Amino acid sequence: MHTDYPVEKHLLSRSYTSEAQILQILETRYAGSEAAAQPFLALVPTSSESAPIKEKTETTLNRNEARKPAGARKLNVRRDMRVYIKRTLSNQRAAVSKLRQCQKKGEQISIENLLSSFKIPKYDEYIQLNELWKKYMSELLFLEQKNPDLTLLLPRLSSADYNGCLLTVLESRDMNIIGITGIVLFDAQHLFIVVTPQKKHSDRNISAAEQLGGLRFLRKKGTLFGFSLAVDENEYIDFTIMGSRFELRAVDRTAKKFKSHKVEDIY
Amino acid sequence: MYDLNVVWPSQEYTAPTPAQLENLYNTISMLHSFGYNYLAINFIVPESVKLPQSKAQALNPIPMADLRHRFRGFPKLRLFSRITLVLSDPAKCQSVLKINNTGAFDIVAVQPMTEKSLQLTTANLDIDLISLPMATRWPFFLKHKTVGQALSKGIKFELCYSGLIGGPAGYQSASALGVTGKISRKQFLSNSLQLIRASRSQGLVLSSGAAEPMNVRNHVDILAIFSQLDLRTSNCKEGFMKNPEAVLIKGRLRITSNKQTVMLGGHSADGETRGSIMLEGEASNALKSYKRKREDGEENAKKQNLQ
Repeated sequence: MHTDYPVEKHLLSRSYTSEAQILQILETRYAGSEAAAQPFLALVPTSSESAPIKEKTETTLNRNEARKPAGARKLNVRRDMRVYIKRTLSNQRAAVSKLRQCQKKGEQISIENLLSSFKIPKYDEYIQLNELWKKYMSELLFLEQKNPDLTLLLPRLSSADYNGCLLTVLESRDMNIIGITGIVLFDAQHLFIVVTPQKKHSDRNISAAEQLGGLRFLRKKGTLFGFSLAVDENEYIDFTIMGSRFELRAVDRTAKKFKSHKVEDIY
Repeated sequence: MYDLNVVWPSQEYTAPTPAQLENLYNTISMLHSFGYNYLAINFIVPESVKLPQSKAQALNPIPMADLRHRFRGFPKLRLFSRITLVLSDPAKCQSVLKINNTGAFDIVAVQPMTEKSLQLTTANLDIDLISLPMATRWPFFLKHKTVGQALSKGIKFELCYSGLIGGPAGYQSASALGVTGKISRKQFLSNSLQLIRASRSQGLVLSSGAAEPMNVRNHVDILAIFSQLDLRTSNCKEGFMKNPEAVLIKGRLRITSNKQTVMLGGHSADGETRGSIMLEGEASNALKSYKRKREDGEENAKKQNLQ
């Protein structure tokens, strides 16, 4: 029955200053009471594992100090990402204006050079991410059976992760983003940040921004996103994401219990 | 325009007579010629009728494939199926949940006969439309709070004008209406006043409830009458356009999506209006074979799009 009682000792140290007094209280605390006579399960550490357990209790006691670095790391990651996105966007704007100027003057300029000099993210680099996501999806959905029931499949999709998904905007209230295709870089609360490929051939005129590709922000509200999953080599399933119902961070979405609402805001 | 109430002649699972079917065909083509392109065939189920819940195939007595084939000459005409469950005992609402799972009907509507069942439908059930009985006196006072609760969940209210035109016994001349007919017409007017007041002219779905071709009316005529009954004129056409569309889309999403988050299908986006993407194809078919065969040269097309 002999242990250090680290938690209780810590608590008592708030009220008593002398060590001896605390030890005395700890030893005599149940004496004479009914609790001492009653049998109870004592969680005494075994001799071999005593050391790590002690460490553990220490960390829980000093939790406040232990939390700081993790929080700082989280903040750093977030800040870095924000900085990266901001910088890339401003670079992109600069590259687009430069391309426009060159086109106005009638000069030939290599788009590849522009992309590398302005550090614009290239679509080809993110195809690997898309492959990873496809693997994750097929494991999530088709691991147990090839033809799963829809009632099983759809709830999993609504709490799945979409970083790396190849999305297409099918319909949107924002006419400018309809038809954009890209790989999701980050699934923010109100936006999908996607990497779009460079457009080379089209029936109509291609704008300078489309020629360069790079990052695009797609608002979730009032937008329908389409994506398709391969079941096997020659069969696909198409899905549509209701952007208005996806206005949650990916972390919150996993635990969210969805409800039906009125549909006017969806389309 | 939309008309979500074309009455299916039979109220049970017995097949209608050929004359009744002929009548239905005529009604549909009459509605189409009046500009109503999206029609829902309404199967009304009284509480006494037992639903064959074990078999999803047998749940829908309306031969939708046959009807669609018959009207294939009208490319703009779209037909949907609807079930209206008459509910007076709140304990019997279990059947609604089971219908939802099968996806046999595009729209699920409920006709609550008592205040308790109305409260239950607005609060708990996942349905698309509430169709209050217009020809009989309601045993309750319709509160705006109840209506608002339903509207925030996306459940619209149906205002069916068949009682105004046909009376209880179908189309007859005014002199042949009889006493009951006159009472029901009076009841219809007071009921629609209540509904318009309680809903503040919002979230109403105007529908014909036509059982015969002669019951079909132009939407302008109907709106002229309802403007006399305090229906707000600024957005009254929503009752023919926007609200029924929302009902159809909600019904579709109930079947093909998980609580309106991720929907099955929908890559053929060349509809002319917004939201039409969600009404493509048939829901029951979408559930059966949701896989899409790889089209020839699809990968090439994709690559070309990307470049």
